[in-house]
Amino acid sequence: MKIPSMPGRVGGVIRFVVTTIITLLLLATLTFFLGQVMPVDPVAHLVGPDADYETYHATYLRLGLDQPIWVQFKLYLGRILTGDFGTAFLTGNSVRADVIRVFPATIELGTLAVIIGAGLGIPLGVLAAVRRNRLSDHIIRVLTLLGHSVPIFWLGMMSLLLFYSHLHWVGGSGRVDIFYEGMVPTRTGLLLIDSVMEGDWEVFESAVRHIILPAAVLGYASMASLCRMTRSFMLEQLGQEYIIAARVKGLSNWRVIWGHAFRNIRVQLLTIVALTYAAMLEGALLIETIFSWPGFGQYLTHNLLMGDLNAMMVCVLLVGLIFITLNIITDLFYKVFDPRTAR
Amino acid sequence: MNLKTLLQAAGLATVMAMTPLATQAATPSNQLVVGVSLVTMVSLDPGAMSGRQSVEVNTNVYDTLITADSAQKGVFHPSLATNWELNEARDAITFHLRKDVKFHSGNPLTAKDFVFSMKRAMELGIGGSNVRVFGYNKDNIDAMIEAPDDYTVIVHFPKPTDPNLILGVIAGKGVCMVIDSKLAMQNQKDGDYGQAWLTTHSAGSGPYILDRWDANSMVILNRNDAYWGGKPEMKRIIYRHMPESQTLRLALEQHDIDIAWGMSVADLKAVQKDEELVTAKVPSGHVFYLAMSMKDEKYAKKEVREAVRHLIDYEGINNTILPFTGTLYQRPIPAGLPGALPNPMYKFDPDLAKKLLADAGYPDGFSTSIRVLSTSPFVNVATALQASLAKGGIKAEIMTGNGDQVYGPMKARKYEMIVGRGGDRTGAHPYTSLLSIVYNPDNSDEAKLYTLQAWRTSFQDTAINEELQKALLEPDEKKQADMYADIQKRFEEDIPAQQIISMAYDTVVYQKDVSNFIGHPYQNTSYLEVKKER
Repeated sequence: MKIPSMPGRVGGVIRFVVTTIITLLLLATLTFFLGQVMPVDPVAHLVGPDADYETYHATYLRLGLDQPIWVQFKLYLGRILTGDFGTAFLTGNSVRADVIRVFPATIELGTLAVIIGAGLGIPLGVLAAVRRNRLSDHIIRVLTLLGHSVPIFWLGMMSLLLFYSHLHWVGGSGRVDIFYEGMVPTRTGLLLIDSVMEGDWEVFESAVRHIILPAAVLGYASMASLCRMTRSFMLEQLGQEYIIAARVKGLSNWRVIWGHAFRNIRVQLLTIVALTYAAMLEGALLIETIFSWPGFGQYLTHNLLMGDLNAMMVCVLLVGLIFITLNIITDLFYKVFDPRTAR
Repeated sequence: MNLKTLLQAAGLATVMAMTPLATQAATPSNQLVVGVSLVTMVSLDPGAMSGRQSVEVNTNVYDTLITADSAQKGVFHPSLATNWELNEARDAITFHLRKDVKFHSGNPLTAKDFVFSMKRAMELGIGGSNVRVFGYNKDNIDAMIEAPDDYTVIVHFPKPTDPNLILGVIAGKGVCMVIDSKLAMQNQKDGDYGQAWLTTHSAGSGPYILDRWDANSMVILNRNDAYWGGKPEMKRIIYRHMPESQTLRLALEQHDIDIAWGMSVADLKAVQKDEELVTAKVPSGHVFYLAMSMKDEKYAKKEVREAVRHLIDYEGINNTILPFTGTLYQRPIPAGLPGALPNPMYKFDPDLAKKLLADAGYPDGFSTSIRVLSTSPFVNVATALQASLAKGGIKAEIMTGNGDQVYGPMKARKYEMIVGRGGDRTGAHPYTSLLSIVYNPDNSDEAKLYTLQAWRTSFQDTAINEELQKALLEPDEKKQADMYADIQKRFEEDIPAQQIISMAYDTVVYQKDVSNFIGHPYQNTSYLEVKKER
């Protein structure tokens, strides 16, 4: 493998930083102006339905909404560039603190869901491809079709009804039983990890009981699509001549499947897993609503509906950053898995 | 073979993950868990809050001089003030305060704190519509609210009025809650009277202390062990954001929450059969209505409005769409108040309506639009109205939207019809009920009288305006009640542009072991004495 010269590498980093900044700036601009045309009135939310005109007007002025749009935009960009994301219009809470609170909840849920989804979906997809048109393939097809076609909110409700209400196997809504709330200090924001660090096993157990169901439901939905994709990628590889050659060489079935065919679909799979993960970090609104999960999806949607521009902007930039970061990580893995791209 | 082993391992892992981890959970006996949607909670500043959950939280964090009885209208109880008296000229009330009250910060609570709280609200101008309506403003507030010494407050009336109304305002939760002036000013920024800080922090003297508020997630209140009114029974009160009705229901059935607000009709019907749960009705002063804009030439005609009055299936809507949220009612003053009258019993009568429409010059009816919130029960009421209006030849298109898209055009007076909920929030006094629905002193667009439903529908009857002010100052109670009754009759003869369909109420569900819980009509539910019998 050829090691790139220093100027090339530095140049690449600079290019990357510049494109990232431009992307984020464009995102901020677009969000700001879309926010202006949205038929939402944050003042009305703030003062409530019983307010008189004086109250309404005073609040309107307080939010600076009487300023020309470009002045508002300039002020806003200036603040963002200095790292001051301000307070949410509507709740007065610091947006940064809000995001630091809600985002780990989503990371925790999304990561576990992807582990479940990919951990089951990929092996099942390989199995379905290998045992094409046999009973196990048909069973897997039915399972994944269900995961594709059943609405996730219905699945969420039904699983709550069964596993929480009837069987009492798992905890209900929220991240933890309510009386454990605030019992362990926030270090990473990931409750499972924080409770282990604190050595508080009661909180840990409660957190596991609460996360397992939403993660399983989300994981099942992503498992379905990952499984279908894996199956079709694998089928394509299994029909190739090098597979026949490998078999002729007398390699074991396991080596042929995992050592040869699967090796060649890793790059494609990686892209899809990364996209699935990004979508989950953006927030799984329906699951978060049904499980009262205080995550990023709920936060984003709520602020969007209420027209809270400050909070919305930070959310959009964060989503932008997630996609950019995952892209970089995927690129790095590409280089590891596929030496051609490293050249 | 190897693949099989792997799959078996994965399967085993899944099964293990799903095995029962513990037995059924229940809330601890010294903590109260309330499941509710916290979407409308946007500020915990008593001078600027608007949503009902903010009001309920602050009712338990702040104190008022007096409190309103939860059942009997017009009856007030001592709180920070031990007693109070009206002067002879009937233009001021003097309150005598307790001397043993301390804020959560340890600062003593004095009359100056009350004066500060009121002045602050008027100066900031971001709350207190219900106070300004009686003539208080930032220019006269210094003269109107006085503290001659640390434990005496004198509240003057800016204009002649019924003293009971002022008492209602003082007991009301909002700008009349007493804020710790020292603490608020310590956290002042840019002359905001501590507004930014108080949005997310508290400076009260009430039975509970705000521990934390995570927007759209939870509110935790801790017990104030040194509360002057006695130590509260519960150690913590936890509000958890639960926007989904079915999730609330499951959590109630699992004993994961003690109290649930805002459940849907279907879920309420289901939990009613559960013997472990209590379903209770909490009255409000709001009404469900169908409003027409008299700026529209069709509804400017009296006959058309009367035809619409007879194209509403009152019984059907109340019985099938509004159980748990409304009772059949057609008049502005809620039952039980002075001047309240029995329902006129308007009926769905398409033949009469058709005749009236023909008289108005619309023998074949016309097309119109109904703006309505996209949520239940509003959109369901609109759909029922669409069907019943069609029987009279009125083709109504339903335009659903959020609050901005429905009440925004109503405040801009640019709409044809709206199905909504509104009126006097407290429903505690006939004057305020009438004020919000029949009164309109200035029918110009520039007046922007947002709080008056009559202005919103462009309805104005100057004689009614005068009668209402006269009734307010009538000292003879019997005569006063008759005057309020007469105003309602005249209003109905005018054929108003807002037809009341139902008197709104809320339904709360709680565990049977929760005692002393009384849902208060003005969202002033106190948790001081609530406990669990276990």
